[in-house]
Amino acid sequence: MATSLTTRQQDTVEADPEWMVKARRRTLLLKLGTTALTAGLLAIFLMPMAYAFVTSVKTSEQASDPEAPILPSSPATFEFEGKEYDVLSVPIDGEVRKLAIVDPGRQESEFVDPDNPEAGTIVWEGNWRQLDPVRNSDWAWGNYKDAWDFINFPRMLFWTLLYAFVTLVGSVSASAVVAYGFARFRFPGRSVLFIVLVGTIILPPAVVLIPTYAFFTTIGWTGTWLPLIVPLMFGNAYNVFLLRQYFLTIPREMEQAASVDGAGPFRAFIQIILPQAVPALTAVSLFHFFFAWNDFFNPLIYLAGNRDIVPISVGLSFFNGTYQQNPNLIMAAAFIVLVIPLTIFFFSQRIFLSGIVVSGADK
Amino acid sequence: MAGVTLKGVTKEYDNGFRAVDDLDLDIEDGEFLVMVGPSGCGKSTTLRMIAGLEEISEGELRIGERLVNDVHPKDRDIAMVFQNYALYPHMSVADNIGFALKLAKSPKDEIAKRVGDAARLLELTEQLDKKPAQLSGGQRQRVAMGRAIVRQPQVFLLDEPLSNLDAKLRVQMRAEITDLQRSVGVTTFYVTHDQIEAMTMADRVAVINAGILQQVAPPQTLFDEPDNLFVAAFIGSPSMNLMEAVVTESGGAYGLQLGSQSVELPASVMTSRPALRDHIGRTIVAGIRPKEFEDAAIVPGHPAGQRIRAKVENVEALGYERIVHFGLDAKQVIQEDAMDLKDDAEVLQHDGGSRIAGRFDPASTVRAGEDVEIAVTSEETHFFELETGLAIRN
Repeated sequence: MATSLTTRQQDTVEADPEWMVKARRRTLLLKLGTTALTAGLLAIFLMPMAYAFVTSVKTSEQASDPEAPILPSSPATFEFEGKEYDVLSVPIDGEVRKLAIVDPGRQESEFVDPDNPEAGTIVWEGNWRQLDPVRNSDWAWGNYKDAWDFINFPRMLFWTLLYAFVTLVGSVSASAVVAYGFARFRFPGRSVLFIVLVGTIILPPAVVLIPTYAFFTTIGWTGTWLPLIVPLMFGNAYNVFLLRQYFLTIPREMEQAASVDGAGPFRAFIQIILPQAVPALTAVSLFHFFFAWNDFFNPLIYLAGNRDIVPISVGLSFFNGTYQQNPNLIMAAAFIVLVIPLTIFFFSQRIFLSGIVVSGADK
Repeated sequence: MAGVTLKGVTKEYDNGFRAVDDLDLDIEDGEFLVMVGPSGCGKSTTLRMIAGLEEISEGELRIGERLVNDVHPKDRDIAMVFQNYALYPHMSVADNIGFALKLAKSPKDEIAKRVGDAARLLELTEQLDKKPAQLSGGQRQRVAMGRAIVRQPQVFLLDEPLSNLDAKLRVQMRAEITDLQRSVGVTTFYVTHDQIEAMTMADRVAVINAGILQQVAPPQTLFDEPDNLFVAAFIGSPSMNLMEAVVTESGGAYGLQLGSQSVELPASVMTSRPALRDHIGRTIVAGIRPKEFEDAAIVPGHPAGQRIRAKVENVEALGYERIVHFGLDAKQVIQEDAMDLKDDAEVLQHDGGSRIAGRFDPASTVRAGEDVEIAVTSEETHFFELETGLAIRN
């Protein structure tokens, strides 16, 4: 029965190919169009990054030479009889040869073939200035080492990671506890408190900047990490909101089953609820990590005057000021800074995105 | 093990809604008691109060001799199976089953042994390392059962545990749960809206409606002697036919007036229900189960006085029997809340008359539209007061 069915299906495919081929062609075209559009958009978004990367591996001369080609390269030279000569593209006998110019002249010039210098000089008639120089690919990977050495990356990295991880653990733990409270426990004023909390998300940072700065100055915390770390230990409204929404999607029966099994509310939270909220927790952790990694303004104002403890974001801006003439070094430094969050993102991409879907638009 | 006693137990919510009202119920030690009722009747609330997941507004709840009104669920020595099983998705089957033991700080080898025993009993040994998401519906159900039995609790609480399974699996699991309960012998309180589950599994069934307990009795008693109209209409499928009727007496012979037709009532009906004499000549509710009707052509010896004539409206041939619907001009009494539950509910009220369902022998040849003679086994008639809905017995 099954065999005859399969055969018939195959027959059908062969019997009426026209409309099917058309439909398939349409699907293919649609797919190609979508892919092309996506690739185009992606290229636009990646262009600044590509430019930054290419610049970061150029030498200072190439980076500041407006005539330089896009990819890092330097003019080729050839050492002949103890002297350096430029290599040019010379059209001879219908072919273009790469020859080192040893005696430039207005009407005719003499060249040496770098591949066969023993053959002696070759005379070429014409204006050598119209010849294009040959460029060799020249990737200045050393920029990364220079940037690393110049700005004391390890120290800044230490402070940045300290800031990111300490506040990550503190903020995410506090947010999870608060979110769980809002999601599960009934207490007077719960709705009002939640609205107030979520309301703080809309509050422009500029509004709270001066009062908080004045406050931290009064208690003598400016110039230290305290004003950056301590407030985050109390959670963050955005994280609380996301995690609460996620917790709401976990059936209450989970905790009830746990409570019948002998778990108190805290144990149920730690052993039953949190393990199920891993996607949301990962998303929130990554959001926080990127926030802390990129946080520039707060460290800038609160650590003012204490260059020994600035994080990378601030250090990079100092570096920018110092090495304004060396965009290649600035870009190299920027790329070093980018590597860590980028690596983390690539490895946790799937969990991260599923966390966003579940805690955000999906529910 | 221990019994469970509910005395005047009431659940009143902040908005004044009484989900359970003054419930008195004794679940005996080792008994399998099923509470059945329509959605929102308070049966799950009752179970959750026993579990400690819902506060008790008034009354006393005892497990064994111990008053447990204010005892935390974990200290009540109960195990519960939830409707959606509530398995911990991040834990393996073994961890799910052993979680309670782990929390109770049982030694590791003891946990392994008891989890292994439970798994063998439930045929889950192969699945112990899997996560709940990798299991079928029936297996998940078994894991939930495993989680309950591994604790060796005083009481099992099961909240509609079969409602997420397909019909075939439900029948199988019904038998498995009953066998399991018999073998472990733990006092079990089982909540369902499915009367078949209630009737097939329970030692006793508690019927509840609108937070008020209607009747608690063994399944057969519930079927044979319903205390009121709700229970009468609720238990049995197709439902009992309920219609207004008058018991008549003339010269020592009794009859049942159903609309324009009359059926003889044997004297035994009056002797077994002495209270019925007080209702002679008054409108009451007569309840006749579908099985008491038969095609008169099939039972030629049936007494002539116990026959009615009716027009057949519809015939459902099921192979092993024929459900025949016919009209009578007696006024139908409808228990809507009970009817709502029926899978085969056909709450079609006739203008002034009743639509009666009868279970005929498959050999019957009656067809829709025919005017036929129907034999009625009138001694099996149930009688209820029209005003209160209570059974008239003695």
